[in-house]
Amino acid sequence: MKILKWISFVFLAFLIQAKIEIFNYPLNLTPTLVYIFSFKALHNPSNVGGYLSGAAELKGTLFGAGIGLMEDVLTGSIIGPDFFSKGLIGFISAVIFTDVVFRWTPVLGGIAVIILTLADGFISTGLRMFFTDITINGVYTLQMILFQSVVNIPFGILVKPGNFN
Amino acid sequence: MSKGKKRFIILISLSLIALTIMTYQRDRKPFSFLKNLSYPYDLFNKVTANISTNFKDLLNAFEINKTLKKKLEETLLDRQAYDELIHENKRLKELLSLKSQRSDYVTTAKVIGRGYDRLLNTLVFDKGKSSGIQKDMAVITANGLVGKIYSVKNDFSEALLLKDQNFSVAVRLQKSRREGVLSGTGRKYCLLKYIPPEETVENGEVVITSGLDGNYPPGLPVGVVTNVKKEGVEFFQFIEILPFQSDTKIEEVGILNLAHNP
Repeated sequence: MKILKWISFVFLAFLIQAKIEIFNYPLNLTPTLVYIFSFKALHNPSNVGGYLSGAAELKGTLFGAGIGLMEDVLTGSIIGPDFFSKGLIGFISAVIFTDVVFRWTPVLGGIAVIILTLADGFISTGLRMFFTDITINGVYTLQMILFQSVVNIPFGILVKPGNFN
Repeated sequence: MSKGKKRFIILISLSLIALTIMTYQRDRKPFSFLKNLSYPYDLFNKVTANISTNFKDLLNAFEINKTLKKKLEETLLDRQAYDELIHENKRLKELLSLKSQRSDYVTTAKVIGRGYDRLLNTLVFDKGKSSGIQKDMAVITANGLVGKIYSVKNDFSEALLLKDQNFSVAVRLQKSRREGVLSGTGRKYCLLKYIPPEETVENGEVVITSGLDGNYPPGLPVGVVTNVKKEGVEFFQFIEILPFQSDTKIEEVGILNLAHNP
């Protein structure tokens, strides 16, 4: 059941990304999805050891890498940029809000989503530029990544550890 | 396995897998870890080489720019000299045609300066007695009368210009054939004197020399009527004449023999 739920989330995220544009900028919801998955994996009561177990990082990384792999395949370019960036986001998301690094607050959640979306955009774009011969419009790409990170803020504010208790 | 090691392994695995896949797709050969390790060094070398090359190119461009500017200046000067020669050639051709038409043509002289006497409007020429020039000879250009020779030395001469107050010449209105005397005023215009009020003179009428004074050959174009006043004058009309030849545009002139000395 849980798997089906996540599959439908992923499907929905891909569908929205493919179909909806705001102010001519496409959305980038998958980093948020990876963030939520890793966040949940960390704060889920079933994660018995919590941060100390390290299981959330592995799960988050694998989920992110999987999502990224799918995005790479759908993009039609080389496989790897999103695989790496989303995998990294999955890993970081599972580490960032342990009490060892930061304690979650709505503001910090929003900031984390902004940073993670920005990181995803820059890493995947940078890798694609490096490993392929594509030329990009720098200003537009920057605006697009910034816009996507702003759009994702509500997810960072609304998703809190208590949701998974 | 400690948590640190586990995290390290996760990150390294993710990075290696991604890099291997991407490198293979780009290069069509397996990922070489050492080659990628040297990438920052290669990149640094490439950037420094580019900067060095660009700097050299920039210096070269400065040098080339300097040389081209110099060449451009030289070319412009050449062009100016060439234009000057074209104009001079045109003027001399006109004088030459004048020389071939007139039997009383003495010589062609070049203007070398304005006269030193501030009270007179004169021009100094580069030829004098040695070239056959005498006092009172007519000075002309292809446009018309310029003045008369005022003083002559062995190798240079001075001409009194048409507009000088001391200058006068016997003239005739080309259309009405009426005689008169043209005198300078010291200004841009000359005055045509001794034309009675009953004579009809129109603006635009051409004035030529009459030859009656014995110094100037008849038929030399002098100027054109620009202003005629009959009212308020006593015995003669007030007629202003604009000379054909502006005194500020004279570079070469032709000297004509005295009319009474053929």
